Amino acid sequence: MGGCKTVKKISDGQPSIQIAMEKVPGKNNQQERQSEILEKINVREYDLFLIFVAVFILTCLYFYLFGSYIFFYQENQSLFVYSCEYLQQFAAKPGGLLEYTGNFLTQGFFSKLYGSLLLSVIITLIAITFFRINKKLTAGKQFLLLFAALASCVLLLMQANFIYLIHNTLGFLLTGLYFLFSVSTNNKISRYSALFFYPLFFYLTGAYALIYLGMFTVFGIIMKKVVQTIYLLIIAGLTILIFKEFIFLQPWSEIFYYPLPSKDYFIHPVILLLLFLFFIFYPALVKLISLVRINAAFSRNVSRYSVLITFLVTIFLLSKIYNIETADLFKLEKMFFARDWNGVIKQQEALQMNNLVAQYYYNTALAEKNQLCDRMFFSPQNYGIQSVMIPWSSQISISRLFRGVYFYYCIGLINEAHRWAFESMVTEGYRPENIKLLIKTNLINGHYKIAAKYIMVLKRTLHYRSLAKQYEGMILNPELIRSDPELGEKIKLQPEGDFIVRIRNPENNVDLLMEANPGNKKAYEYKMACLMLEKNVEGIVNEMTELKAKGYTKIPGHLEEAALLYNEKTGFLPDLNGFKISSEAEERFLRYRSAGKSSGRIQSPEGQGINKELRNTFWYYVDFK
Amino acid sequence: MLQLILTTGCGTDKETVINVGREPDIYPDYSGVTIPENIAPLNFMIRENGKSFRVTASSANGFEVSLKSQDGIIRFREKSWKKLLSGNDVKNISFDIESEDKEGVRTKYNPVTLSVVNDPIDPWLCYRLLYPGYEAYFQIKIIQRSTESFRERSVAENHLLKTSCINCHTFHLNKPDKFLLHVRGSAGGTYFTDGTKVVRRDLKTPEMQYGAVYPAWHPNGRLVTFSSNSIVQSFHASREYNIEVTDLASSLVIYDLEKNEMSAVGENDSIKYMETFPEWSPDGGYLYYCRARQTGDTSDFREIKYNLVRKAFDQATHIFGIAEVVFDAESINKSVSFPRISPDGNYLVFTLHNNGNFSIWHKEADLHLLNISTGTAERMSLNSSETESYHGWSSNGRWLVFSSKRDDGLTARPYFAYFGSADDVGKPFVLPQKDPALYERTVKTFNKPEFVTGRIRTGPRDFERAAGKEAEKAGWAGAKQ
Repeated sequence: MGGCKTVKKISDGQPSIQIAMEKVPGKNNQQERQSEILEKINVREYDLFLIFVAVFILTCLYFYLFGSYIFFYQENQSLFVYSCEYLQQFAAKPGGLLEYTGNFLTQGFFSKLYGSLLLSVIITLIAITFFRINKKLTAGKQFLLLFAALASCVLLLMQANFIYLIHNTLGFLLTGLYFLFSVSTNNKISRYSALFFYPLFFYLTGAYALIYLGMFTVFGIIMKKVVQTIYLLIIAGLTILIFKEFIFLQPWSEIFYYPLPSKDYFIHPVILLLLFLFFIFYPALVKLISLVRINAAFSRNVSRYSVLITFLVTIFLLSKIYNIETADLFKLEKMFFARDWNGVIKQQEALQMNNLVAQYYYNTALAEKNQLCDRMFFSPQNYGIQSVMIPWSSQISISRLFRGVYFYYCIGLINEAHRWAFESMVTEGYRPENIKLLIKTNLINGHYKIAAKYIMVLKRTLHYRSLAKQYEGMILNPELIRSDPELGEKIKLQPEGDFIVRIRNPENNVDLLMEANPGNKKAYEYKMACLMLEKNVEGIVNEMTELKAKGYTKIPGHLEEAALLYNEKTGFLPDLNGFKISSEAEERFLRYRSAGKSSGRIQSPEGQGINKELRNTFWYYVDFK
Repeated sequence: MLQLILTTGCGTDKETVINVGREPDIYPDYSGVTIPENIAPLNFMIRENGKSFRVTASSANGFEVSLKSQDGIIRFREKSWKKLLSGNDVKNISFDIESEDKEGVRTKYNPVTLSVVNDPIDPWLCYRLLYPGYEAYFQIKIIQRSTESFRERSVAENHLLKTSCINCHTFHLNKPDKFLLHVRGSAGGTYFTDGTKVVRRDLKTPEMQYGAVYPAWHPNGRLVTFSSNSIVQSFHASREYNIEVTDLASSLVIYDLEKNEMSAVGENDSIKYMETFPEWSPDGGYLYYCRARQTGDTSDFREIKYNLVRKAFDQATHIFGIAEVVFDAESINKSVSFPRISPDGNYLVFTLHNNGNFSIWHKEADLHLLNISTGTAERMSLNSSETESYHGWSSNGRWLVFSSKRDDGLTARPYFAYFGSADDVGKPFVLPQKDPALYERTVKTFNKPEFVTGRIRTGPRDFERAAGKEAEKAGWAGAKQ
């Protein structure tokens, strides 16, 4: 062109900014020149700074204040082990090291501050990277900021989903960086050299390299860089072929998709498709929007407001993605994993969640405290027997079923609990919960050599090392297992004889366990819970003759309620083995009946007229559930 | 007995040496084992206290090698190891082990001695590597491992086969070029290899109620007998047991590889039996298998007892004779599984356990040696208190390989035992590993070890390619009596 660049400082009441302007020979009209200068305003540094800070703060605030539940969930999805074997698993496939890095970073999700800061840094880096890409693609246009904000906001929205893992965002960041690296130079040799690293990039990021390939191809087409594009396509083709046929033993499906976000868990897989298409066509979108001619006078405002709208839409969508019930559920799960039974009970009784998992955790917490028959109806029970035990199904993924293990562990069917934990480890890999359960079940069963193998795994982690040492001490001194409040109790609950576990109808195991270990009070509690959930009043009163033998000193609340219901129906009380119904229960039952009459069951099918205290009863469950 | 020896060094320092009068605790346990002269280095760990260790391995051929270790892990260089074992006059080697504590006190142990025999072991071992799981499986590999070195190669991997289950790899006369394996699931079928060629076949014909399961190659390499089983798996509640695998029904079928054709191995008896685990005599004249009375679906699994029976086979007409009981396990309230006949046809090793046929989950399962000519069977000296099962003979009949869970009760490891004669069975030793701590660490199990006389030339990608093709459906030739 022959134009020379000067840098001129102007002041328009805003902070001092720099404008790059070009002298265009042959154009003398002052107004025209001024207009071109304004049109070629790049981006004011102040705006730029503001946007990056806004991305950082928005991400950090969202995850710290609202979205921190994803940290708990994701931290529990993998167990980063400091060992060569663990590294080898990932190094053996393209993209594995990206997931490995993600798992490494996820270790710190114990702390929500760490998690929020980490995600904020990554999302902000994405904004910076894509801003720089935009600059390369369309120097001097007004939508540079918009697209940088858009790329980071899209990934922020994805990351707000608890099943979307950190390595997925890292993958997009690396894709952006490599794309930027390969379009940064105008020197042909440098550009070809950048593309030459494609096999390494493929090895590091796996299928993200295909997104890059798409991006570069689109870029090549719109920038008419046909030779470079063909060169890259040849390199990519050879890379894929050599990786598949000679280097990595991976199926085509893995080569073409791993480690992109899992399709299985997204309710709308089309969202993933749109995400990939957004990045693949990113260069075209940026180029296309740059064709839009906006009056130079409005250019800056358009830029600002479009970004502002993007942020507002993002905030709106975040509020839609944020699910308070999921957040509450993970909070409950966190307490459950920490065996904070009182916390679980308190939270569920306060929130009254209708979620199956919440009810299952609540019931298991009650069972651990031998309170199932006393207060299981203090929380909603909407799923019958499934809210106390989850049946096994080989058709359903273990990750969805896994929570069913806690019923078996709680009741003392340790072999079955071991099986569930083992199935989880085989299909899902090491996770804190499955490894902890494998250690505990093997310690309880006296299989110390097997327990030692899992302890060795836990010992090589960052956060569970001290727990591993505690278990290791137990192997050296098995008396510590017997005296441990948790493990010692489970040893006593185990069946003394053998039977075959019923996996399809888990309630049958309760009877078998009671036969194999009549002293197992938890099995009795579960038996009664099942009968109550089935509204089998006669069955309940028949079993109440066992109360004394099971070590009760008084009739548990809900069983009293069942006995009164039976009395009302038949006119006489069942054999209570010397126990008496408390006068409080009788008085409460009278109140319940009168409340029921006054509210009118027909007019009010859900018993709205019955106060909360009387709703927390077996009577209410029988009448209205 | 502790013996304290004080010696004076060259200078003024006094050196304290304690002789503990016992062998050191080493893992794997190689003390007193009988090994072939072509075995890979027997690396091991010293499980004694000490800040450093010194091992001097010496051979009757005069060769000696010294190793030092800070962590107690002893790894021999392959070259030195081979020199240690070479020479026809070698009868034994010994490891002299010393440890030294922080104070410089040295502890000396009695030497660990190993017997070396000139009968070579087959150079490769093929096994299935997987988690000893219940229902779920994820990573299953068929691995070939050199017994002479630590070279290891994958033969088949299930993640290239749509994560299907791979099982029952079975070789024709220990040959690397001719074997089969089953794949269950979406890439299902029976895969036969011939050199580098792999074909996928669907052996289940409409005439068969269940699929082809446990195979046995006829020595002619053309016929394969399979059991066709309906198998159920259940789980025990007691800590003593894990899994129970039971047949609801089973029968034998014979497959002609050339014709791609199945036929029944007919049964003349009026009593309904379950038949499984076929095994051919080396001359091809007898088919051995395990047989139990059909007790019905509702019966207690503990009542199912298998006897060892055999049928004569006319190789010209393909007609089977009448079944005769070879070992009546039912009469001693036991059950037989996995019959394997020595290449010379003189002996048969089977697993004996309390009930059923799937002994790998039976702690009490032990290997027994049957003298075919006399019909007498004895419990072998190589057994442990844990499961021994899935055994096989080397091509020269001098070595037995078997899966043993003796290390931890859950994971099977391949153990080798020398078989000089019925009265001369060596103390078994585990397949040596480059990292001797591997077995302590890994939860994976080494399942169904099989000796192979050479390197297998097919690999996972060959099976993947075969899986991409439609399975060739087998036909049915009708019952042959």
